[in-house]
Amino acid sequence: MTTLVRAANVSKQYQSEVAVKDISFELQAGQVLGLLGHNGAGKSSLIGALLGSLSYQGEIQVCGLNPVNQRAELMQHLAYISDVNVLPQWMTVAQILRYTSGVHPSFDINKAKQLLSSTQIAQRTKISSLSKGMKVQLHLSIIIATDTKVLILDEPTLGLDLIYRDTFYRHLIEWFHDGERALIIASHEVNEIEHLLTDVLMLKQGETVLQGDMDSIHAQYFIVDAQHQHEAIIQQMSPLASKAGLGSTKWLLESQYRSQAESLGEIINPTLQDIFIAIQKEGA
Amino acid sequence: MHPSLFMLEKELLEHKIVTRLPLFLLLTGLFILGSIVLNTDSLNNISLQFNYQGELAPNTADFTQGLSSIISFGAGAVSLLLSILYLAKTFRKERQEGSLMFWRSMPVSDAMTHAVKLAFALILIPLICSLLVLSAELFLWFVSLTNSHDVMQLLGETSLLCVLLNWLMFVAKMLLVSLAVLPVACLLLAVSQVINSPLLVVVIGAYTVKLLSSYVFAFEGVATFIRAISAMPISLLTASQPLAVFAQVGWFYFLLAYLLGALCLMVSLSIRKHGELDIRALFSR
Repeated sequence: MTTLVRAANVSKQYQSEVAVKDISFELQAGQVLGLLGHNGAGKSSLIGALLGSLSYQGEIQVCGLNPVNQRAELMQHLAYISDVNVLPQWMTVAQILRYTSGVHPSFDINKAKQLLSSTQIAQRTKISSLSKGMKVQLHLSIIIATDTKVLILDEPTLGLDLIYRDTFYRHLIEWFHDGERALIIASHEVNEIEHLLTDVLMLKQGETVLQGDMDSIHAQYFIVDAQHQHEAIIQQMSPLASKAGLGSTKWLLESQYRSQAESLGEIINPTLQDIFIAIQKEGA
Repeated sequence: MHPSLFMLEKELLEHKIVTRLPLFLLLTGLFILGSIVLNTDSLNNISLQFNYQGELAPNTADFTQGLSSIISFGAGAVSLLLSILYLAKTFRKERQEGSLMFWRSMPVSDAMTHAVKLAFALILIPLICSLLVLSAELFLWFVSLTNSHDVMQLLGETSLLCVLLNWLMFVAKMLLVSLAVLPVACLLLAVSQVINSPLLVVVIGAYTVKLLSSYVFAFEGVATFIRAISAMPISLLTASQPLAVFAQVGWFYFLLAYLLGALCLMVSLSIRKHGELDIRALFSR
């Protein structure tokens, strides 16, 4: 497996405020990393550092290149889609395709046109007059038509309706399986992206609070749906979260207590969202 | 095609005023000139009057050389105005409209981006405005071929060779103007990446530094330097011997301006690269 992203002890500080502190991870071809965290957890700063748009402390290599000093070379293999539309509004679709074909050596304009032909996006349309869903579709088409190895998505489907979300993820999965690629998705919509992820990096106040592959993360936690009468026993197991129901309460516990809890109620596998909410609320 | 040509094309598409204003002025000018020369009866009533102040005085002779000089000066002033407005706007616009991340996601180096933007402002815009001069000169030549003695009196002797020479002279003069503007262009590129009103800040900053040096520190050197460098572009436009303007300013001031311009360019590149001004990174390489 080729290591496409390597970040070692990455920190970012804005004057006195620490945005990201000592974050390390590796991402290989075929992996999809979920970058999860509350607003202000440091996701955008970490993405900015990976894109080379922010200076940082530590070491980052994407496709073996330094994002700050070798940005132009790196951008042949790295792409980014965010919730905020970054496409130039004053351009037409045809103009942006022509520009990209002129400056991006691996951009296949015919492939991009072919991808767009299956949508309602006309070549002569100004980007400003496209809907948000169409803009994301256009941006993804441009990326798919390049030989991108690493794609970073920052809340890509925020504000999109269900149809556009479905189309977006369908195209994304097709693109991902089409080569040796890695994907980083930062999103609040944990349920929406969970099925895509192979790995998770969860941040809280700039620090890593959970990191690992999906299997190991799921193996770390479980939920026990226990009667209220068992509350005192369960409280001794330091539950991460609880959700009271009618007659029973669902407790999120660490896996070390699994054998003890099995006799107390039904054991359920937690979703990533359950774990995310519990960890983000912990100590809050 | 080289990527820089696509980048220049993108600048042309983005800043349409660069082509539209000269075209508008050309059509307006041709319309006015056309109405004058076609209505030859009124030629006897035409008189030209110029008002000027201060430093323009030594170059008065240029204005008396006829309509060609007026056209050349007008086109030069338009070119200078468009270049400065463009330089103050180009990075600020990307930042404000949010497209900066898209442009940075393209495999184009910051040095190439700066080079293209400087080339657009200091070479392409003057060349576009030179077409204004060429068209007007060609029109006047055509009119001189087809009209009467009265028109010839107004326009003077002209030929196709004169037209081409005037155009080449204009291009050469504008390249000198661009050389004079280059340090200020680098300053505007740097300032516009962090401030929303770069022109205002640069103008007020220059006046403040002038006043401080003259009245607070009683040191005229800085004020003289700023005055000399800021007056250079207009002096070049109005001078009959543009190279003499460089001699008047002096090599020391010119060298100093270029050193400051180089520093501004390094700062601008650093801001573009790091997303902020990183002093350590500026001097690390």
